Amino acid sequence: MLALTLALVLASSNGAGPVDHAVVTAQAAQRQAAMMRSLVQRGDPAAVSWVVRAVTDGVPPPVLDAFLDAARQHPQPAYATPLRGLASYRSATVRARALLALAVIDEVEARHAVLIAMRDPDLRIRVLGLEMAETFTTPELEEASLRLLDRDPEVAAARARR
Amino acid sequence: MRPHGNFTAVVARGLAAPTDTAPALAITFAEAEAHAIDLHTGATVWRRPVRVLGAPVAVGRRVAVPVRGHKLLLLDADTGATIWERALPGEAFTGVTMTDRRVVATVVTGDTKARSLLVAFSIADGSSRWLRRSSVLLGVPGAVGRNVLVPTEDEVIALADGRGREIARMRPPPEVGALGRIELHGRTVLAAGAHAFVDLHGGGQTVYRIDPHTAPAFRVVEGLDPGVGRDGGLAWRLRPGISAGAPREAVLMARRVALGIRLDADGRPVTANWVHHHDDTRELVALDVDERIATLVREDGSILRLDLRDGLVVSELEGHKTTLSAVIVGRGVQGDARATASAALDMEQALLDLIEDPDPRLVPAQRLALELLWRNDRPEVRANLHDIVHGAIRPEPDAISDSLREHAHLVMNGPWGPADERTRTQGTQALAAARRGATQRDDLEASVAQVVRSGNPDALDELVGLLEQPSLRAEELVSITRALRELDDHRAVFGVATFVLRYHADPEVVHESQAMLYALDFLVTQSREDAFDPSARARAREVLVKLTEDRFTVPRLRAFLLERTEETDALETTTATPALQAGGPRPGE
Repeated sequence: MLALTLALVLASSNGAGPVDHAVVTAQAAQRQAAMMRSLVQRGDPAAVSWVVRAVTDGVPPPVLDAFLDAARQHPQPAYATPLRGLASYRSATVRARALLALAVIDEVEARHAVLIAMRDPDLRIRVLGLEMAETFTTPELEEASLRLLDRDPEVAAARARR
Repeated sequence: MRPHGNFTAVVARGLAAPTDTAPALAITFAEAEAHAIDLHTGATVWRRPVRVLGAPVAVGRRVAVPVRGHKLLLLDADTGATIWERALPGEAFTGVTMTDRRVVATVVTGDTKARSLLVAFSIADGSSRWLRRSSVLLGVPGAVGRNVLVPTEDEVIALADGRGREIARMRPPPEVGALGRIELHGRTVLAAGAHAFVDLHGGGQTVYRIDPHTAPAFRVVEGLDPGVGRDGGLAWRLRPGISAGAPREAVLMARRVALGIRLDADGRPVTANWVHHHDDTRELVALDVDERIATLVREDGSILRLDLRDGLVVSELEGHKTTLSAVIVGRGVQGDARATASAALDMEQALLDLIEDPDPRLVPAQRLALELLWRNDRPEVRANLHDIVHGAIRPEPDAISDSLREHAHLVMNGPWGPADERTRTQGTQALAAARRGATQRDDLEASVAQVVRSGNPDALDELVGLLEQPSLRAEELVSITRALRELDDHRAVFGVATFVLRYHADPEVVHESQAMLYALDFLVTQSREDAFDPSARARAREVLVKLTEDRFTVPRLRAFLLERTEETDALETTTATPALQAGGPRPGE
């Protein structure tokens, strides 16, 4: 624990004030986001491994955004686990984008993504689930869509307004 | 023979009989003498030679004493005079009971076809009135009114005392186990095994369980009375309750210690009302409990009477003779009327003092004390078990201390808090419903608070799972992470670690509430050297190092982590070896 304390003190005492620190961190996050996009695009095993580890260990919002965008363009089976975790993120935007990225990996993950979306507490994501079911349609997902419309009047109303 | 008859009515009729209200006597038994003492004055009423063998029984003003030579002696409690003495059939004594007209004893034989006998003598002249043979072993009988209750291994048989006619038979729930004895505790009639007993009122469905790792509830009877002075100094007595079947209070006598305990609806000890534990090395050999007073007899014949409300001493009589056992006759003396002690006794400290006593005779009581601490509704009291497991309390490396640490570990893997099983299960179910998104939100915080007070281990899984529920309001997330911090259970480390890692770089989540700080605080505690589980400690430390090394850790978390780890380092430094503190040689020098 002494080593931990020392590391914290050194990490904190770089002479930068709070505002400077925020600027420095934002710049670093942008650089990290660019690297994330590049590695996801690269898609080789080492890059994928780094991406999975980074996302699992938690990244700041800009880096997370970069991952979610890039993973949708360049899906990998290895991204399924971190994406499923992000499907329960506190931000609805993150959850929605994670589910969209999950759905393009393969049919199995598409099914998972749709069913997870249909159970989401946010109305917009449940509606997204209906739309995803139409895109990645299977008899099971059609039935799930009907059950959702039947049990969820808010979703049904939103659908009717479209 | 199958169960039959109205057992409930048999017990109820017997309990309706008037009880003795004559002056109270303590009749103590040494190796070769009986001594009757007036409990009010302490004066000797009579003495006489008696070579007691088995546990005596007092009913009304008569005392039945199994004596050497395989005989039964009936004494007049007021004078000590022999009313009669009779030889018992069979080979060895099991138990004895009395109604107002019969003395009934069970004995074992050497006959494989009739393993036990049940014999009844007239209380007036000792003439043999009836005898029944049993192909199964019989236990220690009891009597309610003019009905004799006899336990077999898995049944209780009720007989009319007149001619020994069977009038009812019942089979208690199997979880009671092998039945050894019938006991009358005030107006409560129990059929008892070693680790559970059933209240025979109301059909015998109320079962009380004593944890098998704590102490046997009653002496094990396998056809034989183990004899006076050979019960390990342990005795349980239920305090007469308001009505049969209601949660009761009990007294445990354990060698040098007596505890007044409240039992929950499941019959489990839930709180300690008082602890009688002093430096007195004299052992307790007999216990009697009535509505207000617990009477304890020590091995030197001294008699202690405690108020059942608070365990305070009502009176104490000196003793002068080695004593093996005692019976209390009559209930005339109730002690001085007084208010309950106004100062609140620190029950937590009393239990800890008991646990720290190095006397190996106290292990059964100490195990019970561990369980009582774990059943407290405050997490900070339950945390004492963490300290016991890690040697912060009772650090000695001896076998007894090891066994207590092991027992504490075992207890900590089970449910916590005072609530009964039904309430704890409801708490878990409420959390599970919230996790599914099926509950009203305003119930969640109350459910979490309830689980902190009392819960099952599976409730922990639900709390951790709720960290993944994105619909939780910020204040709900706070209540969950605070609960996990209060419960301080290593099994939550992995789920909390995932939660902290996921959001440690997200300023919006970190700043929306104190939830992340509680979660981090929990991980810091679990990362300490004295943390409960090595793998959980390793994971907690791994996460804290990652947060430390990640430049994107939100500054609020970083500052909190710095402050907490400085405190933790200070604590671990002060518990370092005395040589370091005194400026002595450092390790490796």
